[in-house]
Amino acid sequence: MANPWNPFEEVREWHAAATDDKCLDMEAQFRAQGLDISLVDTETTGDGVLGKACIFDGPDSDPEASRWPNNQGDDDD
Amino acid sequence: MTNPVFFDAIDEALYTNGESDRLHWMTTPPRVGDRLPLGSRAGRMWEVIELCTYAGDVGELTIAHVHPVGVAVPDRAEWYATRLKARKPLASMTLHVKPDGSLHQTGCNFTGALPIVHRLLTAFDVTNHKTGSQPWGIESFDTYSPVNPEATYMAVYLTHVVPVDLSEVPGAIVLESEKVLATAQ
Repeated sequence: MANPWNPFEEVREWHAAATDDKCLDMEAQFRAQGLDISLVDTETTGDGVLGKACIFDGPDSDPEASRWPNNQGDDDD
Repeated sequence: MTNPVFFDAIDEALYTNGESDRLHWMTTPPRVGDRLPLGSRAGRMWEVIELCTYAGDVGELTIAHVHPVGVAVPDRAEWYATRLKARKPLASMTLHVKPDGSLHQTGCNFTGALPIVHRLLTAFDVTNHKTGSQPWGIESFDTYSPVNPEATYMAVYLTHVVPVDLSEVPGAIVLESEKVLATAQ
């Protein structure tokens, strides 16, 4: 019997945040920087501080992108 | 018969340690003004400020927008739900529910996509910025549509997730330092 489970691997650009609201702020920030990128999904992460995964897609999305050049990590304001 | 009621903070930033969204199964929906705790913080109660009903083939689902008792309720224009509806008209909410009816995880989609049956949930390691597979998969889902056209979400999906042995799933990625949800244990 074939195994029905699909082990989906997230390959889109994603960043952690404290709340869903911060994900919207992040999208606005990226667009203000001129990036053609959209918030397409959010998921809870289980982390006690950065409890949301903000998932982005679009022509300028890059899963390897470092969006915070000062190496501050993901938004946790 | 009980129906799902999702208690959702108007401002998630107000959650403190142990507090979070809650899913309860209730024979009758809550009323505006009802109060309940949302976590382990002793003595702190949250009040139902607004209710939104969604209807499905299997019954009704209610989203109860809640706010801490004693804290001024922000103007509705400032609510995340209001911002979301304006920015993401295709927004849907997904509640991943375990076999015992407890809430495992939540998510939102902004493209109109449906949950995918037989897909494993994603584990996010925020420390190392890696993703992998959770030992939970979507077996089926129920769809609820808004009764009020002013509702935030175009749909709410309640998925039924079941435990999966990742050792039996070819290609499953198990994070060495995965931070799975406590409820997944």
